[in-house]
Amino acid sequence: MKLTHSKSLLVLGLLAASLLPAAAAPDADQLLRQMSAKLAAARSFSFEANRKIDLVLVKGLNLPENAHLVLTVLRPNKIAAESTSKGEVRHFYADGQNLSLVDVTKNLYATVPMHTSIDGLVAELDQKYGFTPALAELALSDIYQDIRGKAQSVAYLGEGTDSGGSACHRLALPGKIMDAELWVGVSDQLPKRLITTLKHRPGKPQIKLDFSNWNLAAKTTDNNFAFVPSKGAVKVPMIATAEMEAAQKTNNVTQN
Amino acid sequence: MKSFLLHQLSWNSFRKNVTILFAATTLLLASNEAFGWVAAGGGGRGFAVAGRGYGCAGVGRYGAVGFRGGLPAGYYGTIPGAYRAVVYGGYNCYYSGGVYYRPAFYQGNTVYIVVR
Repeated sequence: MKLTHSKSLLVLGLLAASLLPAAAAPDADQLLRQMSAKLAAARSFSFEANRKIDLVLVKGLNLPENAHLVLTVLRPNKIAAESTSKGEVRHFYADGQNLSLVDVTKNLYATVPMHTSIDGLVAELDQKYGFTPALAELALSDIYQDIRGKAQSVAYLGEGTDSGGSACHRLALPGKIMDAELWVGVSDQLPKRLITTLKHRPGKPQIKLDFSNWNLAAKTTDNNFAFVPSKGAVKVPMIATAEMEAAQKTNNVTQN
Repeated sequence: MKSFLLHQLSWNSFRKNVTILFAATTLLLASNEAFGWVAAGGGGRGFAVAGRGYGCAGVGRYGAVGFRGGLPAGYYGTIPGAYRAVVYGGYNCYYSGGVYYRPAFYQGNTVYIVVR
């Protein structure tokens, strides 16, 4: 068979390419470290997120399927968050001394003492009140350690383009019950998307978060984190986990 | 006849026990899976970055969706839409359908405790 000159060049090119080592995939663990370091270095920052919870997870629970979240952080101990969903607006303030939770729609609020850093706040809230503020983990001083403590491994999945059109590294973070996929911006090393999959539930429902408007030099003052009750606001108790557990022992548990 | 009755009694008792066991197992699974607590991730922790709290309950530190452990009788995650705000027993309450509900926060969400 007679090969033309151009075909010969093509064959030679393919042979050469096959002999070259394949381009190594980026180091997923290193990307996670870079993201963590970048956020840890920001003293005052803010970002937004759109969250979508698969319907099967919210059905019958009076939970919002879609929510828009805004988080503002001033290290080491101030954090404020807003959540807006259909028919419900809620705020969260922690100023290093007190924590206030506000149901803006119903004009209810609760304030409890919380003299701690952001790291301490996440741990103490979880331990005492059984919840953590949404996305607060992204304000921890060492996100890498937190994520690595939860994920069984870290692997590189490839590149993707987020809703804002930015190129992202896709990292796989498998867990025992949930698997997470974290998208980190190629150019800015910031979180762009998080998809968690409850892998053992029928249909493998997901919770998706799209991050946007990162500002790592946000101009914040103490006022951003100070809660002042609005006119007519009603103060309500914040029930601790221990109190509810005691009530659960004496009453039947319902599904409400 | 006596032997037959004993057999029936024993069989009925067995069936009752199996039914109770089945019901208990279903309840346990329901409380763990259907609406609540799901231990997740390494060391029983989940991806809290999805977050829960201030009313946007998603996946919490333990992967919880909804109220971890459920709510005791007399506690509700929601109340009937047609309510009015009243003061009852010294508390700010909501009155609906002949019932007074006192609002509170639990696991970052608004819950309602039946006062009367």
